[in-house]
Amino acid sequence: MKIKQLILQNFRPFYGRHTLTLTTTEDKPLVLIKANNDVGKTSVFMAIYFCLYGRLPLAYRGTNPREDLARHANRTARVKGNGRTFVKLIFEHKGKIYDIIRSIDFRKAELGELPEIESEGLDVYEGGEPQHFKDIEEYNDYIEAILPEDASQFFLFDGEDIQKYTQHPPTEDVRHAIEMVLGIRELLNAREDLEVIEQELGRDLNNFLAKVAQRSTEAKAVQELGNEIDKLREENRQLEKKMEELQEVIKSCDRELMKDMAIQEKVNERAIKEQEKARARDEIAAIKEEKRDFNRHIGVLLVNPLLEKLSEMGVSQVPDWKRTAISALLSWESDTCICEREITPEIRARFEELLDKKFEERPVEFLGERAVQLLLRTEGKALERRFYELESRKAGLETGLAACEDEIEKLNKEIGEQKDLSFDIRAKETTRKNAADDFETYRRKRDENNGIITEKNASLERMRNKLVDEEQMNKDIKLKSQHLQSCKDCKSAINVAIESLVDETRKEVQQLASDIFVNCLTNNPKLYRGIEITDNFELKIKTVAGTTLPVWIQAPSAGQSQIIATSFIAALNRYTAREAPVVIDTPIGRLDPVHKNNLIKYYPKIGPQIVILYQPNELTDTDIEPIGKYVSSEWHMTRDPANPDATIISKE
Amino acid sequence: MSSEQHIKKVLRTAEAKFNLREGVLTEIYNAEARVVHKGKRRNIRVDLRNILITALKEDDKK
Repeated sequence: MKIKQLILQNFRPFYGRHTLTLTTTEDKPLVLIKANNDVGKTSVFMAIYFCLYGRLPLAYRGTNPREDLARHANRTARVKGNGRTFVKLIFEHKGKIYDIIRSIDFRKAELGELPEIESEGLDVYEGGEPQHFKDIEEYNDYIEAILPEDASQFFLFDGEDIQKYTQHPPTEDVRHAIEMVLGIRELLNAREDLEVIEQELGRDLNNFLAKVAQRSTEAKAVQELGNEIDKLREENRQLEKKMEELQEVIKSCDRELMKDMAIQEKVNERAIKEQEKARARDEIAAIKEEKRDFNRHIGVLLVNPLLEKLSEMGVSQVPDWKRTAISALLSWESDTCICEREITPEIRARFEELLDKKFEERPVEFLGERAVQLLLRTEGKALERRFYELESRKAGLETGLAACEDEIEKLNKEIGEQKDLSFDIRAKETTRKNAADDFETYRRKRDENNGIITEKNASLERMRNKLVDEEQMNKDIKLKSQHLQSCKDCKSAINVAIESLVDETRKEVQQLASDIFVNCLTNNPKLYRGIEITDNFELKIKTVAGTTLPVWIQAPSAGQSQIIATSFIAALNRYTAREAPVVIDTPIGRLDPVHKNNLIKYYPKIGPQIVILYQPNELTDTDIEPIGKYVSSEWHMTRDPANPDATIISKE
Repeated sequence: MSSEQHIKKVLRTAEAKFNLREGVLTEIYNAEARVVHKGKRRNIRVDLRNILITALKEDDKK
């Protein structure tokens, strides 16, 4: 960064518009601005700072920023009326021209009173293009990237104020500023950030690993659940196998039962037929018995007409064959009557007695009487009906019997000697019932298992869905692990870089500061060997006597301290990572003539652009003469003769 | 050698020592440089994480 121009309007003592052209060249890096006390040197210094950072340097800040702003309004201007304070800084940075314009609109104020600020303005142009910032933070980022405010203390400073770098061990703020100027702060911040990132990545990796562990547990649970489902499915397969076997048993039972029941039906039918047959036989026998009684009567009835005829005709007229037949009939030596009834001895005896008694006397009459008696007792037609009825019944029964026998024979042909199957059927029915009961039990168990399988499958599905793809997870872990490793490696590398940079930079700055101090600035080079800079950027003085003590302990004079600090700042500027102008207010302060001359001679070497704001007592024309060839421009600020409250700037 | 050049040299040396991709530390440095003034307010860890992803040389990603 190199300042080209500073334009001031109604800023502090500068009433109206004033322009300071501060352009320098490589061989003329100096700009001198001379002014008596209380004319405006510090205001120029303040204007540059205010334009860059929107506020005053720390040493000049009041308690109320608004009042600080109001104080920028030129006294003459604010008394005259409403107006505008305006500071424009034009500078070059890395090949581009920047314009930063700060303005303050103020209201008229009475003499001795601060004006009311109406508005503030900030306009920035980069390469002629207006820059837009959404807020002040964004602008701060913008300007800090050009020259950090913290680092500016080594570029824009009051010569009498720099003794602070020697009087006490540097505060943390100063140390940070030095680190920033030297480019170390970035690495320290990077190390801090990488430590945080390393922790975050470690946590991320741990979380991934924990997830994997959890996934492992979940995967195991899924596996176990899967095994349980498989076990249930296997159990169901066994159940279904048993059910199939039972179905076969049931079917077999059904088939056999159907067959047995068909047979049994025929067995039963045959039994019924047997019973019918037996009944028919019994009835036929009864009919035969009844017929025998009937025959006894009917025999007489049949003989009776014969006997009546015989009685009418007389025995002599009866043909021999008929008489023989009757005699044979009467004298028939048989145990069976013509009615087929058995003639027991008792019956025969009785019959013979009757025959003997009556037959000898008049046998035909006797028989005839007997027949008449029978006829009287039984009507002939009734006997006849009875006869045919019996015959009919007998014939019917015999037909039924024959039918029964046919049926029985037919059944026998069908079922052979098959006996009653009721027991077998009951046994098979029991077997079938048991099989059906078992089947139902297994079916219920299978259905219950299917329900459980469905539920478990749903759980399994949910658990599976919860599991992220294993391969992706492993990939993530690998990536995270690599990420962590790269973080660790970068952090280690940055640590090495910090150690190296701090050490080398410190040595470089230390060497530069020592050279500047011993060879250029000190008034007693034979007493000092140089400046030592500790790791914490504490300044120590090395004497030829061999002592190395902190500057603030060695307690040199104020001038000597200023020279040491200047040496340090000059070294920093020579070695800085920041390119910036050096603007020194009150450069000489309390330096003795030797120190002053040394310092003046050294000014051109401090940096590429040095603006020196001095009062005539600090630097005389004689003092300036040795560095005259390095001066690009000289400016003189004086009170306006017409307005003692205003400063005018003129180029010499 | 200027401070800037010196820093780059130191970073390159450190990159080589830890077998890091060339320029990765400079990227980290530049990211920090953009926000160095912000103190605790800086928040570039996302940027740094992205740089770190490519920090290792391909051969080392095993």
